Amino acid sequence: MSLQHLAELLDFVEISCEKFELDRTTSHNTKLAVEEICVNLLRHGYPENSSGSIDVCLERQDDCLIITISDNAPSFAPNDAVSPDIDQDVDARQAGGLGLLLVRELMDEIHYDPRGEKGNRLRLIKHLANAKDKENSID
Amino acid sequence: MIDITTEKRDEVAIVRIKGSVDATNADMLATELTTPIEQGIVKIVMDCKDLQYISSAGLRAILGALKRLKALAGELVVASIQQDVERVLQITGFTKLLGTAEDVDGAIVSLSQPADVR
Repeated sequence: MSLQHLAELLDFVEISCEKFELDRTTSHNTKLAVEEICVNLLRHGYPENSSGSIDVCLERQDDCLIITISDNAPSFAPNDAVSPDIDQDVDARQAGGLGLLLVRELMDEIHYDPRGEKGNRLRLIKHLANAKDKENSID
Repeated sequence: MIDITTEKRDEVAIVRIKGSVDATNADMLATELTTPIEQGIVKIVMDCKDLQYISSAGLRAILGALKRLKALAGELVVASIQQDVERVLQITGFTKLLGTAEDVDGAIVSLSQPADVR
């Protein structure tokens, strides 16, 4: 996957959220979380000219949406990333770390599963109100 | 999908953003915000009425413009911001860095006032 495929991926996430009958804000936040994790992987997990895959699976269960993102990049635990200082003034502010900060704030649970040489698996969970069981996935 | 247009009204550049700003098109936003600055316009309004989505890539573009404007004693105000986008700005602390206004006219009025009465 490359940045060129991001638009296609985000369309997939949006369509899946529509199928799952999620509200606009949940759909927005899900799309944002998937973008931030995948862009991070593309920038830091897969150095330029290297190749690899990212699998994204969205599953709606009774009371939650589960987003599973699997890759074969070197280990990286998002929870270990340092949060940016959002109280700094313009001169001191850096853009790094904002994506993972958004994921942490917009999702309810983040589970990181390092799989050794197989790469990483990240499960993001968003708690929902309504009940329904469906699944959508893309490679 | 993104559509950005810029209108100049007196000494203010109004940058209207329609659609979604993500990692695939954030460079376009950076260019649209930088172009007026390079032309000597340091008061910028971002009209976000039709902005549905912005990721950290878009925030990076805004931060770049803010840093340049600060050095030139300029200002960037966001107008008509939608709820989901506003939440993104709040989480990342950008609401503390940017001016905000109900609409474009309000933003222009805010920019024309001295900083100590805003």
